Amino acid sequence: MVQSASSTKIFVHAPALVNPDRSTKAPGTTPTSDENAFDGAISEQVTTDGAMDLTRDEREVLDGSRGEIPRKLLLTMVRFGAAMDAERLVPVEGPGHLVIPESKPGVGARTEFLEALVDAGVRAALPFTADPATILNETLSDLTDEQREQLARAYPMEVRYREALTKLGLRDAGGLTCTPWFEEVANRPSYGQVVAWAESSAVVYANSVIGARTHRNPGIIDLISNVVGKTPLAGLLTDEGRRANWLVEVEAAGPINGQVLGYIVGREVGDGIPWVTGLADMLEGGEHQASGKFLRDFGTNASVGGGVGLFHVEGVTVEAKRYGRRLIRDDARRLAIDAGEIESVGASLRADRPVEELRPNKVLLGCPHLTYDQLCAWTDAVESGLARAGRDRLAVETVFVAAPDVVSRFRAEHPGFAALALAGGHVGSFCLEAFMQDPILAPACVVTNSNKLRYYSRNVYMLDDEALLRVMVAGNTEGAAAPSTGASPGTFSEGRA
Amino acid sequence: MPHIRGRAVIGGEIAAPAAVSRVGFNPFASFCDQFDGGIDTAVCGDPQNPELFDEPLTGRVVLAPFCVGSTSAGPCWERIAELGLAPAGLLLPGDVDPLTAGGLILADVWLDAPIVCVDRLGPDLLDRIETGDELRVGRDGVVAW
Repeated sequence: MVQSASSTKIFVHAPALVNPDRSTKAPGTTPTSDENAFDGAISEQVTTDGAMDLTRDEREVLDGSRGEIPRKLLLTMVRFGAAMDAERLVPVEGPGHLVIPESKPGVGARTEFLEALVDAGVRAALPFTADPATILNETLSDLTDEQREQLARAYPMEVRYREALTKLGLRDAGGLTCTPWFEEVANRPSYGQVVAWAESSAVVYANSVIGARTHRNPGIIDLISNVVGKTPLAGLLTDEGRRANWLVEVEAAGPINGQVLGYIVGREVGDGIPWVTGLADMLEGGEHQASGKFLRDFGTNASVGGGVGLFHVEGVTVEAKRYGRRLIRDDARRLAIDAGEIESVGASLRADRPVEELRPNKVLLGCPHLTYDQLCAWTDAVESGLARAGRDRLAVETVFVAAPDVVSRFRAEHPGFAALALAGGHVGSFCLEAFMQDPILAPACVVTNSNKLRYYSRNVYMLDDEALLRVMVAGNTEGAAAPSTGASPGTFSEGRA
Repeated sequence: MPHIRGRAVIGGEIAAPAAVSRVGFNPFASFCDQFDGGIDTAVCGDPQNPELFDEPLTGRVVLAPFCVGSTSAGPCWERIAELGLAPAGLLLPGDVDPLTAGGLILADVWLDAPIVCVDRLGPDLLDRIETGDELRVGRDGVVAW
């Protein structure tokens, strides 16, 4: 029997925009002997021995008086908090973002689990967004009937899964993107707001550029946090936990590729919090047109190369501007990065063979999803490139992906949309990473400008934007992979974020 | 018998051989090829892990300096536990990260399939234990070999 969420009082959701006291014990505090064990049985004792402060309402839920599903949901959060030395749970103040949009085992949640939550009347108080959907509903021109049949067999639970996720609070299909904070999608937390997000690139952007506060939540925990309406007060949610433990000094003039720099920083600092100097002039204090893209690229790749969930850029990011160097811990480790290292690492990420040898059969752009401005810039570039070459069709199938709401705006507002489609360009909203990891779909050889896609996939090669355009227009011609001079972020990839 | 004590994040008593990684353990890269099941033993599929690549992991105790990977770690740990293919345990020198902790807690609470995890075992953990050492882990977070 499915109960409506509104009729079942399982969790007492806090109102939005609550501003809890964020003072807490410092991360890294040496645990006492009493804190040194909290396995399943002991964690239940947490509710009574005061090691983690719980409200009367929370204790009632953990007692099981509101049912087994609510008890397990809250127990999961309490144990998750105990693992992080949280002193208590605090309300989630804004809509969540989830990393589990699809039913594939090991990638999404178990469908039966979602349906059990629905049957128990559980629902997030605030509608959430989630990562891009599967490719099932896309119309890639070269997808064969056999592949479609294989996909249907590989995702037998997809319809039930989506229905359950919707009943649990998924906002709508427009909210299926890895860039929920874009203005078209409008899941953008406010400064200081506590949210429960997953998706590494979204988490690091929300924490660093927006100044919201979220853990780097694993999938399923993201959902549970949002239906419970609580998240542990620890780590990145605390003032102390947001202080930098790395001082990264960048000594390089001129344009710096945010992907390359972020990747270097991530590899060095792991899951640390870097304070980065030497970028304020280039980014004009965050006011430069390309600064949004730079910060997005930097954060995404810092989380790819390591596990960075928050970074500060001196004179640029919001908390760095507000608090200055007080945010750097006294024991912060130092790291210097010069132009030579950026150049050599950048070269190592680019394709190591010429395009005529790679013979790519697809160009994939949009990992993470493209902005509206990027879609427009690429469309204009393709149109001009085809005109210059005297062609009317792209030589290599090219896919651009962006949030569904961004694509809708692009269709409605940009005159080049129809021409791009006629030329063979595909504009979609699926996840390129999932596409490349699916053995049914993965093309033989792909070129892209995304280091994240390259890192998580096989047979994916990085080119710069000018080289990609040559591949799209002219195909696998000699010299198409030659890198452009300098470490420019690329002509067509700039735009607001 | 040498022993060290850490914090039991997921408590339990196990006796199993060690599998030591010198690089960050990436659960998704290690297990993603095996989510369909139908096998008896999960083998590490992460080519970027030179010590564990192609090594069987099911039923062993994985030791690593830390875990790495994306926020998909939660479903990954839960799935490999659901299939009965998970390592018996995970030992870490420092604090367990939220991604790993969340995945292990999900497997324990929702599947009753605990993967024993002890963290804060000290920076010299990986110098003291070698692959193949027979380990005993107690509910109190004591590791002996």
